[in-house]
Amino acid sequence: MKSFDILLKKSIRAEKELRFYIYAVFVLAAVFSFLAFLSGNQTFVELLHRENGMLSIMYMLICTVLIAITIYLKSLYRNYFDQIRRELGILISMGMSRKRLKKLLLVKNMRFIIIADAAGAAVGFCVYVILILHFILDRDEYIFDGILAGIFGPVVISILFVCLVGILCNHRILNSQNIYGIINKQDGKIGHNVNGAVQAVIGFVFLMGGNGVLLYNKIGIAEHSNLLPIVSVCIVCIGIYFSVLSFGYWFSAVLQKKKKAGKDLILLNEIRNHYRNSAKAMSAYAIINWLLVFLLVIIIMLGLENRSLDTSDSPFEYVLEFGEDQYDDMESFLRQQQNSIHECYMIPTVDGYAIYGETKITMMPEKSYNEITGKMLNIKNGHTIVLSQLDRSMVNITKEDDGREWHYWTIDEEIPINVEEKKYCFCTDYEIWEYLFNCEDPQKRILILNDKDFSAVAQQGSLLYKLCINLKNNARLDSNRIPEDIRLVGRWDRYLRVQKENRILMFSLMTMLVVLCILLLLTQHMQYICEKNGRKRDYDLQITLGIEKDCREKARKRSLWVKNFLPVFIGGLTGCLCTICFIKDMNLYLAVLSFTVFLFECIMQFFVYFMEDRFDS
Amino acid sequence: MIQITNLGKSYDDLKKHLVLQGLNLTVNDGEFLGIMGTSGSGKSTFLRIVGGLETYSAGEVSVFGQDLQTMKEPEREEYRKNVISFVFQDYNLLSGLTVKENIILPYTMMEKDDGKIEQDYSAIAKRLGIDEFENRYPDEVSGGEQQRAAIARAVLKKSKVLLADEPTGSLDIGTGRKVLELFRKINADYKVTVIMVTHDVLCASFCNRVVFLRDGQFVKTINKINSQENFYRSIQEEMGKMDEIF
Ligand SMILES: Nc1ncnc2c1ncn2[C@@H]1O[C@H](COP(=O)(O)OP(=O)(O)OP(=O)(O)O)[C@@H](O)[C@H]1O
Ligand SMILES: [Mg+2]
Repeated sequence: MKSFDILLKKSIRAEKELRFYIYAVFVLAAVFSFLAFLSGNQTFVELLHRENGMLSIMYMLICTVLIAITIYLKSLYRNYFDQIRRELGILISMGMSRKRLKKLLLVKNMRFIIIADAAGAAVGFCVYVILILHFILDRDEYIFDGILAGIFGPVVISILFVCLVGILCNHRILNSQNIYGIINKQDGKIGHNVNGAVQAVIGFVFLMGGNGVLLYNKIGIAEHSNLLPIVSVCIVCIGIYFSVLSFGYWFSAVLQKKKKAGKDLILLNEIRNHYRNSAKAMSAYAIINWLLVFLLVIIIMLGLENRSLDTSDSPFEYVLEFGEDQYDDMESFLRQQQNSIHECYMIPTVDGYAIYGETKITMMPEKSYNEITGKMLNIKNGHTIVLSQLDRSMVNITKEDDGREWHYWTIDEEIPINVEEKKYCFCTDYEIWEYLFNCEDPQKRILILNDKDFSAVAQQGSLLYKLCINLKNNARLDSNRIPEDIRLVGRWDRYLRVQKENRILMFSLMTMLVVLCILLLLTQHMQYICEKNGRKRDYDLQITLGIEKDCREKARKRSLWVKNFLPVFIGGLTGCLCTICFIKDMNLYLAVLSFTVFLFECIMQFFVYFMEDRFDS
Repeated sequence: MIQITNLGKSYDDLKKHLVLQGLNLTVNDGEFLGIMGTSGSGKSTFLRIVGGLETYSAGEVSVFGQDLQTMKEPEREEYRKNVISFVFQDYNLLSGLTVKENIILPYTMMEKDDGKIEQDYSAIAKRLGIDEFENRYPDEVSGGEQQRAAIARAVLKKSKVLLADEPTGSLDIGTGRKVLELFRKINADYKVTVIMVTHDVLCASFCNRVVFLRDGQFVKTINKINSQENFYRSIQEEMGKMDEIF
């Protein structure tokens, strides 16, 4: 004779749905862990930080994906739970403890979930290592220790938490005092007494509120934290959910008014029975669509920026910076490269601090200036001329009566300078704006000193040489031969570096795009699976009633249409709105672009709809 | 003793309609009570409330001195497990278990001795003719067979109160009679209080007392005084009066 526990386990079984749920946990854990590792990548974060607001976008992305996953897994568990809830209800009606039932389910399923979660996160990590570290960042050796503990753990835990939330939310159904209602699945239908208008208003208010927060974040003067965008994401997500949900009430109310043709009634039946559950999946779908618009616009923006990178007016292709101890190495290097070098200047400099304002400045001798430009400055002892490597148009220039110009330091005043703890003072004559050699930081000022003054300063501080090189036509500097520890600060190098960085950024965002698309397809698939079960019974019933195939087909198509395009419309349009509200230098072009992306989404969805339609019939 | 005073129940529809309103009833221990009434009069609702499967909106239901509404969840569980057994109108068998497994399931919750379970089961199974299909799944047996399984499941436990919602609706007269005799037997032998909803006058005549439900209240009570035949006739008479009203 079988014991009670065996009977119990046998009676609440829905292997197929559970398996599907577990697979989904696996895939989503992989996707999420990939994103998490990506956003934890130091290089990537630094790159994002440099772009305006990109880091916030990254956090928004992670946050939204997590929300979408939560909704998704919750409705997927619901799909499983619906298969067994009648059984659970009957068991409760016979005096089985609800607590014990819930615990039993949780324990039974948690094992698989934990395994799927951990395995998925591991797979996501592997994909990250292979795709990002290996292919995109070209890294051969990886440092794991910190990353693994710092990201892997939280990823696994957060997915586990998300699963738990979904499961517990669903198990709450079992708490109902109306046990007969649990058996007969009395909830989940679109009821009579819920006001669609109220939901729609809530949805609208939240959508607008979220965008308002984004807008505030954009125009607000205060330094904004990453919290604000995340808050707005959450608000917008709630807004999307309510908007999607309210549509079901509107739609069924409209159908109820019409209620003429049989196909309307069939559609009404379908909407009432399935809409509330699929609304959740649809919201997840809409959220992902929303993000997609956002991401695509940013990628396109970055792509365009990439083309117009080389705007520097610097006169040298390479500038190498090195100290005195490497002087000999560089001399020999120059000798080797002699044949490819067209012109070459060696500028000795000394770094120091202007005492007021603690700004870093560089000093160089008049002789070098003369050497490069051929112009004489005739600086007197104790005097200096300020060189700003900027475009004149970038600054407000003050012109004195005698024709001298200045912007940064008031002229005829002494600037006290600290060089290795020794104080020097120089009186400024005037300021010039010229690209003498390339420099990484255009804010850094250069003081041109009288040669005698310079050698005095140079005795105190350490000499730094700037080697400025222009190559002959078609020649290339063999950068492998450049001795180690020598910094390249030249234009060409900067161009290459930025280009590479942007490429990495683009690639990373692209992979995220792919991830999102996978998520989209998955959601679509899940919705399809979920409804198939529920719908099949209705179909069989309809066949026995002799309802024509044509009629059923039409109703099915219409409901499919709603389920395919509603999320895209709500999500896509919200995406456009958020893009406009979020991106700092918004213009008409970008607005048009985001709507184009939205259109593109619609077209894509049309293909999905087409495929699904084919697949279904 | 089951004491019901001023019971009221409404569903939150668009129009709040009251299914039960100011209902009073006392059921003594060991009584075999029949409930009759037109379709939709709230018989099943009443039974579910007594069974602790649904909440109510007004009044008091006290079973063996305990008020249902104020019971805590563990007490409710105990109540459903030990005090009540229920025969649903739509059977509610578990589709993943065979007929036999379905029948013994609640019994295994309280009885651990396998031999005793088997023994009690086969006695009832033989009586209701279940042993022929005991190893099939619910959706592989007929409606009447499912109903018999549901009855066997409720009876096997021999809990203090047996609530049955049209237990003979899908059965032929012969099988129906067997079921009712079984009810009568456990009512007599184990002092189980039986409350049975039925549309059938013959079925009702097996009870000790029959109450009629209309407009959310029990409007008439008929007691069995001498023979079942007389009882049958007076119930039929009352039913005729009810029909005239509609
Ligand atoms: N979940 C519900 N929501 C709204 N009204 C309900 C619900 N369940 C039952 N009702 C209504 O409550 C009333 C009583 O229902 P109940 O099932 O108790 O009737 P009954 O007397 O058992 O009928 P029958 O003899 O046909 O089984 C009916 O009018 C029914 O329409
Ligand atoms: Mg009924």
